[in-house]
Amino acid sequence: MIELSHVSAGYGPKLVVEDISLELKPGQVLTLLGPNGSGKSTLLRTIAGLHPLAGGQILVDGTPAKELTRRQMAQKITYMPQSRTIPNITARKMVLHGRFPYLSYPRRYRKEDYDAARRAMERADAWELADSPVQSLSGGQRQKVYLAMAMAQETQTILMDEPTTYLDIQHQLNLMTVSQQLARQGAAVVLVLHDLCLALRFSDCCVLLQEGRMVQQGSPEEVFQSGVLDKVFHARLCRAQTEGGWRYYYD
Amino acid sequence: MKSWPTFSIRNNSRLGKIFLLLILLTVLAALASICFGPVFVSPAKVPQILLGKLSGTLEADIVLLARLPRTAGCLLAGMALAVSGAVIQSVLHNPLAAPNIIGVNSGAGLLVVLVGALAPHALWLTPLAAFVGALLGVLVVLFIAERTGASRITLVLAGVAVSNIFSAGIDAVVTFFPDAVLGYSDFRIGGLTNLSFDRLAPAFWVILVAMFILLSLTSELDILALGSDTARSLGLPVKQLRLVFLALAAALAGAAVSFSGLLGFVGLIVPHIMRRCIGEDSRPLLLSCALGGAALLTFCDLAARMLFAPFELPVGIVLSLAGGPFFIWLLLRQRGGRIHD
Repeated sequence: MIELSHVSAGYGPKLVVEDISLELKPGQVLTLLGPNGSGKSTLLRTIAGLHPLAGGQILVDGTPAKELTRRQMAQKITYMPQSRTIPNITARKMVLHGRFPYLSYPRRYRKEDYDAARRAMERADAWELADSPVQSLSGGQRQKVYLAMAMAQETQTILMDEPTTYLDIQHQLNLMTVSQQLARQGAAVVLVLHDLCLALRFSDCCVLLQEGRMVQQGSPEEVFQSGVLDKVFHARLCRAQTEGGWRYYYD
Repeated sequence: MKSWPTFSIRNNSRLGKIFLLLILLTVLAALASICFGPVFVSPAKVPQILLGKLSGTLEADIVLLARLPRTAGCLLAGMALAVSGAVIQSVLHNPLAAPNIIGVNSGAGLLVVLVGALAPHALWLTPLAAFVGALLGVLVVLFIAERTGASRITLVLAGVAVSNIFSAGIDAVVTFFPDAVLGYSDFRIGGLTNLSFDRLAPAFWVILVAMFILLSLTSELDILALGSDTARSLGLPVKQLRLVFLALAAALAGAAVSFSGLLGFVGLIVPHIMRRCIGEDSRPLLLSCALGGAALLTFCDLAARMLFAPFELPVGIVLSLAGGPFFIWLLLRQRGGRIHD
C-alpha cells in the first residue's frame, strides 16, 4: 500500500501540489479529478518517484520511497504516462519491456517474462496485435498495448495519467472496465481523468484537487452529493438511475 | 496461434537475409577497395598478398602500405559514425541528431586541429583530443536538450549553431597555424588519404572497446528509446545512462574524426535506412548500422578514387552528392511515418 503524508511538490519555488495526505489501497480504483493546472499529473508523477518531493513523505509498503532504489520502485509501482515516444518496434517487444525491472545483467528475458507478457497481452485483448509495429496501430490499439505493458510489470500499484485521452467511447469504457478488473484482483489503480461521468461511474474513491490542494475525498456518492464538483468545475452535474446503476451527465 | 520468442536473428528469416546482404556488401566493398585503383590488383592475389607470399612485389606494396590501411580506415570510420549516429538519435529521441549536424564531429575536429597546432608531434594526443572535443559537442547539445525540454526543432537549430561555432574555431586555428592539419580540405570535407596502420591503431582500439560496451548495453538503450518517463518508471537510471551512451557515441565519432576528418551524412543516413529495414530493436540496429556504415563509406571512397582518376575527390563530397539526393528521396517516400505521439 502507498501512503502519502502531507505531500507537496512543485517546479522551483512554486508549489503545484500542497499538503496532500492520501492512501492508495489495494482493490480500489481511485481517480484524481480537478480542472486543468490543479496538480493531478504532478501528483501522479510524484507518487511514481518521477518528480521530487518538496515536502511530506511517501511510504511504499511502510518504507519511505526515498529509501527505495529506482528498480525497487519499478517493481512496486507502474506508471503509464499520458504521451510517450513510440519506437518502431512490435507490440510484443513493447509489452516485454514491462518486464525490465525484474531483469538482472545481462538483461536477457526469461521464460517467465515471456509468459507474463503473453498473459498481460491476452488480458488486455492485445494478443492479436503482437506482431504489429506499435507505430502502425490506431490510438485505441496502442492504448491496449500500453495497458498490457503496464500489466506485464505486475506491480501492486498502477498509475495512469489521462489514459482515456484520444480514445473513442467504446475504448474508454473498455479501459475503465479493465481498471476495475485489475482492482478486483488486488491492485491499487490510480487514474487521472477529465471525464467526471466516467470517473464517478467506475471509481471506488474520488479525490478532487483545486489549485494544488485536496478539496474533497470520498466515494463517488459522497463526492457527488457534496456539490463540490459543480463549484470547482462551474458546471451542473446530474445523474439518473438505470438498471446498471447511476449514470452521470452534464445539464 | 502466435508463439514466443521471435527476437533473435536466427529465428527471423527477414532479419537474417538483411544481415547476409549487409555482410556481403561489406566484404565486396572491402575487396573492391583493395583491388581497384591506378594499378589493378587481381582479387585472386589478395589472399596471397595478405599471407605474405608475394612480399616485395609492387602489388604487395600497394596493397599493404596504401590500400589496406585506407580500406580499414573506411570500414572503421563508416562503422563508428553510423553507430554513433544511431545511438545519439535514440538517446535524444531525435531522428535528425546525427553527429555531424549537432556539433559532435566539429567539436572533435576543433580539438584535433588545436592539438595539431600546439603539439604537432604528440600524435598520441589526437584520438584523446577528438574524444574530448566530441564529448564537449555532445554535452552542449545535451544541456540544450534538457533546458528546452528536448524540442526537436530547437535541438537541431541549437546543434547547427554549435556546429558552426566549432567550425569557425577550426577555420580560425587553421588560419593562424596553416600546418595544423595535413590536407586541410580533406579534413574539412572528410577524406581518407595518407592513412597508415600506426595512425589507425589508437582509433581502432577506442572503436573496438566502445562497440563492445554498447553491444552489452543494448537492452538499456531499448528502454531509453521509450522516453525519459517510461524508462525511469521501468527502473532505469536515465540521467546516468544517457551520459554513458553519449560518451560512447562521442568516443566513436571522435575516433573516426581523428583520422577521417569531418565526414558528414554517414551518421544520419545509415541509421535512417537501417531503422526502416530492421526496426528499432537496438542490438540488430547497431550491428546493421556498423555493417551498413562500413560498406557505404568504403564504396563512396572507392568512387572518390575512381570517378576522376588520376584525380581524387575527398570522399565527403561523394558521400554528400550520393547521400543527399538519396536521403531526400527517402524522406519524400516516408509520407505519414512518425516517431512521436
